[in-house]
Amino acid sequence: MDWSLIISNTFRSGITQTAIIYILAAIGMNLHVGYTGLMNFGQVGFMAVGAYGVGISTSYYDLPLPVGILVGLGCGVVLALLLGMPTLRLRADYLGIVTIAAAEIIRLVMKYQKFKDWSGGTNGINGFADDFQAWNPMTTSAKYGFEIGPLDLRFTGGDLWEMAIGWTLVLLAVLVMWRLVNSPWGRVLKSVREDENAARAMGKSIFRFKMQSLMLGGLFGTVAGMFYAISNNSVQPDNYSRAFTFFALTVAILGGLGRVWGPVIGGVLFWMLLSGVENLLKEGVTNDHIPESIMDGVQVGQVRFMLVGLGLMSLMIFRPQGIFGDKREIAIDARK
Amino acid sequence: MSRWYLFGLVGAAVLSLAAPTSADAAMPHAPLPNGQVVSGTLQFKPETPDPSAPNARTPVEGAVVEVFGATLSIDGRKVEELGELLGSATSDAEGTFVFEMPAGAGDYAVRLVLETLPAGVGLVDATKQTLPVRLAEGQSKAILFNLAEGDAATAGVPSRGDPWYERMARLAVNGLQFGLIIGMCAIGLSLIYGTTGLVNFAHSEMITLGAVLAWMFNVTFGVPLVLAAVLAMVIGAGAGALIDRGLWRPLRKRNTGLIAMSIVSIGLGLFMQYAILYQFGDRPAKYADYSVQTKSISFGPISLSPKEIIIMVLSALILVAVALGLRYTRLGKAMRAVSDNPDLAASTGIDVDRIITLVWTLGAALVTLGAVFQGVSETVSWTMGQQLLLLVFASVTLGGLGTAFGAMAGSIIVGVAILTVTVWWPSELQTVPALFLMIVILMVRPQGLFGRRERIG
Amino acid sequence: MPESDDFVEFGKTAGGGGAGRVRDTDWPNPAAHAFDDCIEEPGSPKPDPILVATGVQRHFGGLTAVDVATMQIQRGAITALIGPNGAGKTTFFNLLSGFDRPDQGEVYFDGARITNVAPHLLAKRGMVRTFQLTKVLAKLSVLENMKLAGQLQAGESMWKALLPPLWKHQEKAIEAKALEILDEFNMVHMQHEFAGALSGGQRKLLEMARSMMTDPQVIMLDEPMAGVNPALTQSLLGHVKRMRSQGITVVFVEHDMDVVRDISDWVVVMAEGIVVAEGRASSVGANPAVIDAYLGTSHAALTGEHTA
Repeated sequence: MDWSLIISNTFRSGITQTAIIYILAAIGMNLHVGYTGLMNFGQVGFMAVGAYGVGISTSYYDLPLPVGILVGLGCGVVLALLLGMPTLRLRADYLGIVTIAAAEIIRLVMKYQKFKDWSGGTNGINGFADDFQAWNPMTTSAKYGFEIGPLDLRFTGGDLWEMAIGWTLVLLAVLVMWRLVNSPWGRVLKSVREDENAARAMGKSIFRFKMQSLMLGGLFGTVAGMFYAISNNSVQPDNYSRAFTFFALTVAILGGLGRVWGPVIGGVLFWMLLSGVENLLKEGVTNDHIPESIMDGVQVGQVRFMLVGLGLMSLMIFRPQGIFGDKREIAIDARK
Repeated sequence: MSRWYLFGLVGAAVLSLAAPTSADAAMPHAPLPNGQVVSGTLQFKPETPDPSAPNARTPVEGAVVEVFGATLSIDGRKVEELGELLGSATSDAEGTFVFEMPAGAGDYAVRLVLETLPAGVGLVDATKQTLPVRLAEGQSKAILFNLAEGDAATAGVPSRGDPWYERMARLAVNGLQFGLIIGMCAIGLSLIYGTTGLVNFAHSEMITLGAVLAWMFNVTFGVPLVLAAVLAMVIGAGAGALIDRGLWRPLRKRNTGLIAMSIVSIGLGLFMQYAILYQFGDRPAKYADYSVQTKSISFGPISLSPKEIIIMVLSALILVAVALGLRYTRLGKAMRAVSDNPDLAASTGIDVDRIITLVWTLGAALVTLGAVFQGVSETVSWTMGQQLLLLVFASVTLGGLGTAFGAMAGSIIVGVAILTVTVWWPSELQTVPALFLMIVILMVRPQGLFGRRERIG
Repeated sequence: MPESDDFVEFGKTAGGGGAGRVRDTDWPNPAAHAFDDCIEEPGSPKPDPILVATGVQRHFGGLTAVDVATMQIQRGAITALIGPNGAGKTTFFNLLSGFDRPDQGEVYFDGARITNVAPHLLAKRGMVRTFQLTKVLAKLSVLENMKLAGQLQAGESMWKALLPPLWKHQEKAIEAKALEILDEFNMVHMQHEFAGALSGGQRKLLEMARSMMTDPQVIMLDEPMAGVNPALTQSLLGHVKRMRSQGITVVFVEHDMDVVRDISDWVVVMAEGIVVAEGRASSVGANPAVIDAYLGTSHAALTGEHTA
């Protein structure tokens, strides 16, 4: 067993781009599910429109990358309006169904082979964000960083640049969230979560607040999708499937719904746990500590998903307040 | 009709099998090149077989097979529209053709150029000249063209040439079948919602589980499919009851909120889906029985295979039985009462918890049977539940969440609608009109077509 | 507005659980003579109606839940809406407060037509309601519950929320007002508790206090005394009378005839969705139509033999 590899991979997973993408998406879901009580189970749809918004506008319409980013954000707003208009006035569960379906449809439409001259079809869109690395003050391929004992913390300049931008986005998002949820606006959101009719009787336009929450949380998802697309310099339709939403939801719950730092803590922990388990199993399989009859290399990935499913269930059942949460402040447990 | 025809190619039917037997047998020749390929062997049983080797097949050399990008129906079973020609392959001396596909997942069609076949050799079923191929990432597939010599071969008439109303009629019947299957899957979801308020996102995995259980009995243990389906129903129903008793009932007792319960169901679904993948693998499979039926019965422009007729009749009968049962039996009335108003039902002496467990049991049994029908009419795969879930949701919402009758009607509407629109609409995007329909209904009649308006306060 | 010190007889214990009995002299009744010229019959006109319903109907399936030809509610008075179970009181309440839409008919508030006006807009115009099952916001503190009800808050705009200087000042004013009202309701000491931790009676109090935050003209209470212990009932009654003395119109649904007799200036009796009688609390119980409506169900309640 290569312990140095396991430890390094585990630790790195908690801070690299993947974790950042999930944290950004989970911040949005935290606003929806944790603060407003909106069952948005289609966060990946917001990610997809962001990613495709920037991808399509830069590669098929030759817009500069910053303009493409604005287009992506615009797409997020439009999606929120389209989803919210028909469903926000209805019972909470309809939003869950409609968002999950809408996200799937976005993926199918983007993947549709006949639209490939417009959205890249099954091959997706590639190589539209070269500018992003061009702005990198570091040397893209050079290695930076250091090693502490078994822990290898060296990253390429390209990765570091992406991580720097990504964490800056996370901090900005957390700052915005902290400001908002501690304002009268956030107070109304929480009241909507607790009891819509009470908030209504107090003169609050529930629809407006839900829509704003859906839009803002969706925009965090859109930013996550754009970060995903730009850092990979590629958009692949099948990356935007619903498992992504469920992972992000797990991240948000792990850190504690209705807590500003919840998604960040959740995201780091989630990826360290997941990567730790995966690397342990993989090493176990390669070194024959785990017999082939039980698990092969491919099945390690599947076991990972099974663990996420079990983890999501157990968290919601046994620690709905999240790992570090305060039981009295559970955002959604006692909801009827 | 002459009995002297045989299938041109052994092997992996329309889709390769997860069964350890078939996929290897389909490829007795040279190892496959790296990457994804579509391949097959063109051969036929001669009209007058060599008496010393009555089962020997004659390979067809030099026949050309063209590969297209294509639009397939949602189940990947029918070619709706041909896309651009990607290239062609010619069969070798052993009748084998191999075509390297573009990397990644995609929908394609493979067409046999009839003119390149030897004289007197043709397809058994003229409508099977162009076959659909749906490739998952990294997947390769074997293609079977049913060739025969002499009388058994008919000339090809491309089905796209039919007038639109004939295609529409055919699609409507297919849609009816699909709708009935969705209906079987939807009743459980709707009744569970009605009685507990839970939107069960793990319902899709109940579908997959049912189909895979039946497959396991049928293919792994060699039980005939009819019996395998019954066994699967028993186990599926048991699983439903167990999940309710072991998971949902304790959560209800703790007064867990509905959003929290939905999230638990998402976790359960994720776990089940990947547990099934772990056990079953990612290759779609066919049941051992009723996979290939060449005979069909024609009603005007519509021709149906016996299994299609049986599926439709059986599921229609079962749905009617469920509807009557809900309306007239004590148990059914109790279920509807709980669904209507659990508190009121409890106060009239109905054991609500028992009814809910029974709803889970009944729902799971119906889902299992629906899943087996779906597996028979298409394939069994670890994602089949996920593929159906959106349509089930759309149907249930359309008919009115919580009502069994609404679920049935909604399912048939959705089934017929999404197949008939493929006359004009790409079938890859079949779910789009279904969702659109659902949203329109939500806007104008949120309680669904058959639901009742809710009382506030 | 009376100083809180005048209000000591309600006790300073948990949410005013004190047992002091309220005398009418504590909170003068500005509507004492408003009904002097009113005829005691269904739909009787009032001298200064603030809320008027005409031809309001609401059907559920084949069932007619509410069918009120006319009903007027006098400004500044306490009007009770009573009737046997299933009489359509709560449904009518929902129709008046915008939480449900009538199939037919019109509702007027202060002379303006409010049929089909969204409930939050009614609240902004000065019509606030409570619910039969209290709707406190459990995961918010008592003080936050109060502050939520402040109207026209700049910080409720998503954009302004990002810039605290734009709303901090107003927030302070709202907090001061909230504390003032909490003080009137003797709940200041529990301002930091989660509302979910309160007892049933305290929740009713909080809901009432929260309603006062909106500076209402009309306050509609759906069974304010249901499930409240008798000691707290007296306290709640005192608060209702204090509201009236401040010029607020009170409409409430109630089952307990003792309560109805004690505080209401006017009583509207509903049965099977129809207004069967109206009158003063002292005389309505003797109305044959009312006895008819209640007969067999809670006749005892009307004749005062009912024990809570």
